[in-house]
This record gives sequence, structure tokens and C-alpha cells, in this order.
Amino acid sequence: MMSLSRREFLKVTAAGIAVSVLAGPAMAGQQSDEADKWVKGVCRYCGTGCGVLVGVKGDKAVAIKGDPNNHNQGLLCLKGAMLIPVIYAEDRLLKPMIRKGGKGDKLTEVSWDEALNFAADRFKKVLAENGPKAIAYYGSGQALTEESYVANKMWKGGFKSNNVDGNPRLCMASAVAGYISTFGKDEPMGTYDDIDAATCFFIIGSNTSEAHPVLFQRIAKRKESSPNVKVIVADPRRTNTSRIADLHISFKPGTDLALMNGMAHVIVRDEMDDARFHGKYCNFMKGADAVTFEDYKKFLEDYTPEKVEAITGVSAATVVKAAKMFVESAPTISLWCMGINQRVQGVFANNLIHNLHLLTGLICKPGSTPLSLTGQPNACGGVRDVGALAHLLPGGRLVENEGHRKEIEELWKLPPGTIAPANGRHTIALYEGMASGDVKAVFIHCTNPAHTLPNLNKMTKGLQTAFVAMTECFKSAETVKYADVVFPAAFWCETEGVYGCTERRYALIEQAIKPSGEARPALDILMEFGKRVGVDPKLIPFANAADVWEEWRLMSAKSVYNFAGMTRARLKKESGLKWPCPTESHPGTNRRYVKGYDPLVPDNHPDPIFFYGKPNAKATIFLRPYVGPFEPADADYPFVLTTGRVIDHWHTATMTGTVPELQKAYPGAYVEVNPEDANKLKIANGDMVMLETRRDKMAFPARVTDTCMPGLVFTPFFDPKLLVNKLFHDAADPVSREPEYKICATKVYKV
Amino acid sequence: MAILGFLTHTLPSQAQATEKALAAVPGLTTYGVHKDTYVVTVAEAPSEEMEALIDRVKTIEGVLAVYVTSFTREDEEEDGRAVSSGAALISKSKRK
Repeated sequence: MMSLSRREFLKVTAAGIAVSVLAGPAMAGQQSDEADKWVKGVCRYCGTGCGVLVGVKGDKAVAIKGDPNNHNQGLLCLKGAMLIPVIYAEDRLLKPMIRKGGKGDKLTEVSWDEALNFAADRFKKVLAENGPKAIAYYGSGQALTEESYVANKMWKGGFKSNNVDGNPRLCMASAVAGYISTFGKDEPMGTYDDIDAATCFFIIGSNTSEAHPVLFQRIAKRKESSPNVKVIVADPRRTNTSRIADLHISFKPGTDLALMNGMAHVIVRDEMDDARFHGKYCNFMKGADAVTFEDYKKFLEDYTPEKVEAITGVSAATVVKAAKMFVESAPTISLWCMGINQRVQGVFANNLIHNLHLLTGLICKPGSTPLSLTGQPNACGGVRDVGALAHLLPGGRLVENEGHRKEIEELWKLPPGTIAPANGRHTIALYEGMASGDVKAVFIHCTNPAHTLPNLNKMTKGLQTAFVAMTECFKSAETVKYADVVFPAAFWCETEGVYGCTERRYALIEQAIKPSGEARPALDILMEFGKRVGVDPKLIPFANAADVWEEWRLMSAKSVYNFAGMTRARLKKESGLKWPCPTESHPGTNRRYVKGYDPLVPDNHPDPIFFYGKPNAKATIFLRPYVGPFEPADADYPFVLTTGRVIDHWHTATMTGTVPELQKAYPGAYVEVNPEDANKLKIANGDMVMLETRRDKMAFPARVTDTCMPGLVFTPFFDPKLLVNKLFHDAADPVSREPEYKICATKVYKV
Repeated sequence: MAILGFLTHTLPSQAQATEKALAAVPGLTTYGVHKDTYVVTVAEAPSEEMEALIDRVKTIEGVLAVYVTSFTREDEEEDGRAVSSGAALISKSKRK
């Protein structure tokens, strides 16, 4: 038993850390420490990307605290604070396993050599017999940047296969396409600092309080700072986020395009637009056709507040109020997440958010910015930026652009024509290809698609037939059931690499402890596997993650993602830097496209703002009509089902499910039913309620609450015992190919 | 016992009363009101009971929010609980 004085010491230290958070970064490092050493990192969970310090005593991680020098200023959410027990969970995978006898056989522990050869032999056979289109890599916005970079390089440059996709396709592909179509380049122009300067928050399709809790604390703190700070929350659910709202807009699910066009209508009608700004910096487009501001005004006539009320169920007065608040309470920051992205019109919805900012000139200024919240900790840095999707190449380049392929071939020292000219399979097409037999082998890294894909009964058919090799940290991940080979990967602070979060901030996770059991860093696994399949070792001449970073860092100088100034040594020293950051003396960029902030805007540029992503340097205001969801409620399936996160679990709960204090808070999924609907259906709290869709049905315990509007039911998706994605269709946005997880029609009845 | 450090956010007008209420909860120790509105608080509890303790804090009159700043299990380590096998932590969280 520990001595009392030691415990008191730990308590005083914990109090001291809390006080130091209030004191700000200057106090960092002035605490007496309860650990032998503190190692810098980034939280493993959401896209907020909070900085952490991991306390190590002997060879064990024993403590965690928020990094006062990172954007979170020392704060963490409870699940982030509970990361240490996850490292040592009994559920950790510690030895390689294979199914020697094929799909029906059980997983057997084997040596690393046997597992790697087992996987490599199958991939070699498929490549030889069926060619590069028959293999695929399915990655993750949770993988380290170096891992995704190497996998992308091996597949596109080594195997000549563009079948590289991953779970960011399910998460923020619509945000990517939204930024690219409107501004010409991906990734936001603003940062979290804009939260502190904003006096109006337009939060749409985001339950920030549960999905990005530390960021929500920052928003709430800003809200408390002045009665002049206004918060608009647009969401069919009255979530915890809306408790700080001055205006909660509860619209019929899937009608937000009409709402935002309605707000634009009011802004233009009442001359609240900034004609000087959009006249100088914007063009108007209807699809691929250039149109005029007058055409746009005419287009908006279909979205008078009264017409919008008829579509959305939001009163005309509320539409007007929202539009006025957006402009009159400026500076305005828009924040959105999966409610916007996971939609069949997700790209259009993203464009319409950007429209509001461009129309009003509330962009590229302190506190005024459209800032897409990312779901995963490294979807931005590790997948979007390195181009680890089926249509992308590193640094914002496109597979189908001959010039871009040539640039990458030169940078990777590949013979001309090595990179295949056609896009690979996006996620839905990939799993359909596995089911049809066209894709015969897949390498899944750091993700759990058997839990997260939409229309799971359909999508998992391919996993039942194709050869599946995967890296994983936890035995209970649903996808392990389908794996032919499981490589146990080092978890989080057991290895080293870079994460890039929502605000273009790259930060290093340093290795704090040795990998558990026989687990190995995923980067080593990927490279060893690649070499055994036949990748030229000269293509991946990396001894470690730092070597990979060095190549990618130098390569970035040839793109607008320039972070050549972020040396490994600098990342070890600093708690993250925001790109562009072209030189080692550059402090990083808080505001893209703005002269004096963005190093890519020449000092002698004639204008203060330069949208250099577009050939004509003008951002686009799109005429995007309202289009409804793929499967609205109807007479046969009269309710709308939507899904989302809860605060104490993250994604499929492979990590948070191992922590009792988190698991106890949410031991299983449930369904929220509005009291009005519950009364009609004679449903009481705790009753088992069946959700039946055109795909499947399953029963959940009821929570009768007014969180959902009448006609809408909600269930979280974390629970592996209730795989709610079996209920969903797999219709996806035609541009981003991101599925519509947020809306499907369902029957609701008491069991 | 695990130890969780956090800031309890209150209204300035209720900060002193909230600190007293927090200090009366078994397992909680307070270290004063800072910047008029934050009560520096430390919770001691077995890992598996920490969530319930924090939930209780959130129900105390005057508490607006809880901001976690640190968590340590060193004490549980030395008590022979958990880390080497993870057994204590996992025992209540079997999902299959």
C-alpha cells in the first residue's frame, strides 16, 4: 500500500496541474512531478487533437495530463483522461494470429514471420493472377501520418494499385469536396483561435458537447464571456450542445439545404451581404456554369422564409432571425460535423455553409470562418494531406490529373507512367468489389469496418470471402471475426508519429513506453509486409517514422501544404504547428489566404485576400438547390432514424469499452423517443423498442426524452452488441461518396 | 485509488458555496477558488467509481461544468491493482 504522504503528494500535484492550467502555458513544467518523466503526445480520440503529457514511472505509463502549451491549454475530457488504462486492457492483442485453414477455421497464434509470410504469399498470388486492381488498402483517420504515407506510397507507387481508401471516406469526405469545390484546396482557412474572437457561433450538424467536448468547453467559455456572444444551434435533436444556444433551430431531418438557402435569401433580400467582398473575391456557379449575382438572387426566390418553413418546419420568423444573427452578431464562425457530411447531399451542404460566409464577407478575418470539425484525430493530417484516398495523391493532388501523377512520380523517383491513371475504389465500391470477387485481398489498418460500414449485412459479405489482413490493437474489434491474419499493433504512445487535427495543426506523439506483448509499430508491419509482397526496398528506405516524416516534410515544399519548416526536432520541442509552415523560423499559419498571415500569399500581392487554390483566384458561391434525403420517412416506415456519438465512448468502443468508468456510463445502446411519439406508441422508459427498416430490425431499450423532435429517433452507434448500421442503406453523396448515416426511414414499435 | 484533478466551473456568486458543497463530498478535496469562478478539485476513488463521483459533482448546485486536467493511477499500481494484467479494470467491462 502506498504511503499516505505519497498519496497526498499526488493529490497536491493534481491540484497544482489544475491551477497551472488557469495560469496558462507559462506555468508549464513548474509542477513537482509524480512521474519519472512526462512524454508529449496527442489524445487518441476525436479530431479536436488535444495535447497530452503521459507520465511514465519505470516502464509503465501511470498518468496523463493536458498539455498546457497545446491549444487545449491543459484541459482534457474524461475519456481522454482515462486513456492510460486502455493501454493495459486485457482486450489487447499481443500476438500475431492467422486462420491456417481459411475462413471457417479459428485464429491461431503464430510467429511474426509466419503471419507476415501468410499474408504476403496471398497478396503475391492475387497480384500475379489478378493484377493490382484485385488488392486494396483500407486505412484510417486514426493511423499515424507516417503509416498512411507509407501505405499510400507502397500501394500507388509500388503495387500500382489505387485501391487505397479508408474510414475518412465515411467521416469527412464531404467536407474535403466542399472545401475543394468552393476554394480549390482542402482544409480550413481558420483555426481554433477564431473561437476566442467570434461573437456568433453557427453550429449545424454537430453535437459538439459530446463529440468534441474540450472544444465545446472553449465555445461555452467564450459564450460566458459576454452577453453579446450569440450561439445558433441547428439540429433536429435538442442535444446538450443546444443548452448554450440563443437560438435552437430544429428542422425536419435532411432539410438543412433549404434552411441555409433561406438564410442566404434573407441576407440578400435585406442587403446584409457584402457586395464589395463577393464582387471582388467570388464568382457564382450553377454546376459547371458561370452565372451572375442576379442569377443567384433569382435562384434564392425559391427559398423565401415562407417557402423554407413549408420544407423545413422552421418558422419563417426563425429563418429571418437566424440570418440576421449570423450577420449582425459577427464575427461569425460556423462549425459542423457529421450531420452535414454524412449525407447524400453532403458536399452541397458544405458549399452552402461556405456560401453564407462568402456572401457576407465573414471569412478570412479574426473570428469569421467556416471551420469543419473533423471526427478522427488524424483524418486531416494523416489521410487528407498525404492523399491516402482512392482519388488523391499527396499534397492535394489528384490521381486523374496527369500533371499531378507526373509530379509524384518524380518526387518518388518512379518511372513515368507507374501510377495508374484511374481512381481506385472508394469505400462502398471497395466492399462491393470484395463481395463480387473483383477485389480478392485487402489490408485493413487501424479501423473496424465490420462495425462502421453502412448497410452492414450487405457490406460484410465481401469480408466473408476476400482475404483479410489487418493490424489491430484489440481482440474484440468486430472486424477480427473476418480476418485471415491479425497483426497486433503497438498502441498510441507505444510508438511514435504525427497527428494532424482539425485546425491544420501537426503535433508529434512521442513514444513513452515499449509496445505491449509482441505488438509492433504498424509502420514496421506495413513495410515488412510490403517488402515480402515485392515492393522495391528503395521505395521505402525508412529505418523509422522520423525518416518517413523527413521525406514527406521535404516533399510538402512542392505543394500548398508546405510544412517543410516542421522538422522532427521542432515537433519534439513544440506542442504542434499549423501549416503552411515553410521554414524552420516560420511560426505556422493562423489564417490561410490572407496577406501577412499565409506565407503562400506574396507580400506584394495587390489584394489582402488571395484564394490561390482557384485558377481565377475567386472562391465560388454555388447555386445548390434543396434536395432531400435518400430515404425519407413514408407511410410504411414513418419515422426517421439517426445515429451519433455519446460523450464517454469513441467510435466502436474498442478503446473506451475497456474502461469501466466509461463503460458504466453507457453500457449499451438505446433509442431516444420523443414523449409525444412514446405516448402514441405506449412506450415507457426502459421498454424494448423495435426499429425496423428495409434492411434489418433490432430492439433497443427506450429513453423517452424530448431530445429528438417528434417523428425522429436516435441511437448511438458505439455498441458492438447492437450494430445499428445494419439498419442503414448505403446510399452516398455522388461526389464525395460519403454514405448517409444520418437519415433512414424506420418503423418504431414496442416489442 | 485513482486520482483525478479537475476544475469545477461555477458562477462567481456561487463559488464559495459550491466549494463548501464539493468539500463535503467523500473522496473530493478542494484547493480554493481561482479566478473567481474555478474551484480546484481533486477526486480520489477506485477507477471504476470515478465516473459516478464526477456525475455527482455535476449535480451539485452551482456547478456549470467540470474540466479534467489530469488523471493518475500510480496509487492503484502500487496497490497491486490492474496495470500488469489489466484485470481489475477489465473485470466490469466485458463486452462479449
